[in-house]
Amino acid sequence: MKTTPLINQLVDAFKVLPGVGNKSAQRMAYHLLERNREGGIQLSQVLHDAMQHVKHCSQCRTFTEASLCDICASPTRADSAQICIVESPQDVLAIEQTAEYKGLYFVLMGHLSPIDGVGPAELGLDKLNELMSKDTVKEVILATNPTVEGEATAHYIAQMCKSQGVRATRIAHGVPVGGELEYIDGNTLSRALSGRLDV
Amino acid sequence: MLRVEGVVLHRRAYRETSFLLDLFCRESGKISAVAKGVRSAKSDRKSLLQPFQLLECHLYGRHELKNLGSVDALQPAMQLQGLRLYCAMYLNELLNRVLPKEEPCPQLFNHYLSILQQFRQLDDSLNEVEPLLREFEFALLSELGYMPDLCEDSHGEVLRHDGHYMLSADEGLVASADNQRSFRGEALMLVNARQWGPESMQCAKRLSRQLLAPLLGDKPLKSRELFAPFRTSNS
Ligand SMILES: [Zn+2]
Repeated sequence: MKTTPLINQLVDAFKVLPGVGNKSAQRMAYHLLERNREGGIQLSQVLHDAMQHVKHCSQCRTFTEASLCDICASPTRADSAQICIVESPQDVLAIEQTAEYKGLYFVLMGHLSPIDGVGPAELGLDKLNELMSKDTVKEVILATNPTVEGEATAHYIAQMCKSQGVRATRIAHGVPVGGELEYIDGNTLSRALSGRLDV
Repeated sequence: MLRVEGVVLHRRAYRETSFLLDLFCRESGKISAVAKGVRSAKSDRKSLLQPFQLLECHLYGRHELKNLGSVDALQPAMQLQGLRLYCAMYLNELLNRVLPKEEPCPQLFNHYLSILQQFRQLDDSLNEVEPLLREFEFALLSELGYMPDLCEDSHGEVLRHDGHYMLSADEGLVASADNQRSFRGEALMLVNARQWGPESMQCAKRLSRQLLAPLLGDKPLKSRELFAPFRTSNS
């Protein structure tokens, strides 16, 4: 079937989405053209607005369209004694869903990975240093991923905490709740063993 | 099918659920491979496919980019932390940048593994880890054919204790006057004998920087930034 330049452009544009190849992009494009023009127009407007107006919170670096995100702006949390360090805005969502944590966040937007050109400056650690120097801050919770790079990042920030006299804690890693030991991989299991606690 | 022993130098996300890997292998050198479906929640290969752990990998395919089949750990994970972890990351960045693909260098590989093992016994101080880094850099430079002879100068004359020498890319060590860029003969001899003290460490570092510079181009190694806090507090 012959297509037009505009339809080709649309299909190509959909391919920026993760996991979307030529086939899926074509399906999306034709679906909107055939059945949902209104939805398509709305998608284009919201997409445009979000790309233009969503930026980083000036304090914790998570996504927001305001200069401070809701969490940083919340009066009950602004003077919290805890800052939780995570790698991505989705990690903030995940922790918020537990409703266990009432402190502030700092979102690194990645982890230390010099081989990919990501060092301390790229993670905004100077900004974190500033935030940590507030008198109210007593504890930094390191919730980076349990990968080599996540550990390196946690360790680097722990060092910054030390020189500022702030307590640094690392989230526990190990066997998933409801899991069975025989199905756990060796590396996870040895981490769980080395991080065991008195009961 | 190729069965290799190696470590992950670098991994990055690829498509929805895969990783692109650069592996450093004992018998095959640096190899690139795709690990498909590894990032999904139920795959336990993602815990293995991380830097520094010695693995046995099965690779498939005839192209430069292989497909990764099964993976097994040959050693427990290196649980390196702090400066030694940053140093290990530095080695990986260095190897990833300068090692050509698919050129076997089993000696260098064994040297790399032995350094990782030695890191576990050391303290987090630059004085302890830097000699290991320099020795590895020199081994790497020799492997690539960029390491000059540190016993004699460009005219084949044995170095003199009180002599001064400049490094020339083509000729090796060239006798010179005492200046900012020259190396003291005695320091070079200590470096050659791997006898580490403040002067030989300083000399080795300058040598290594100069020798690596043409291989690294205008993009310095990023991992060096991680050492900065240790420089101000420990040395
Ligand atoms: Zn915020």
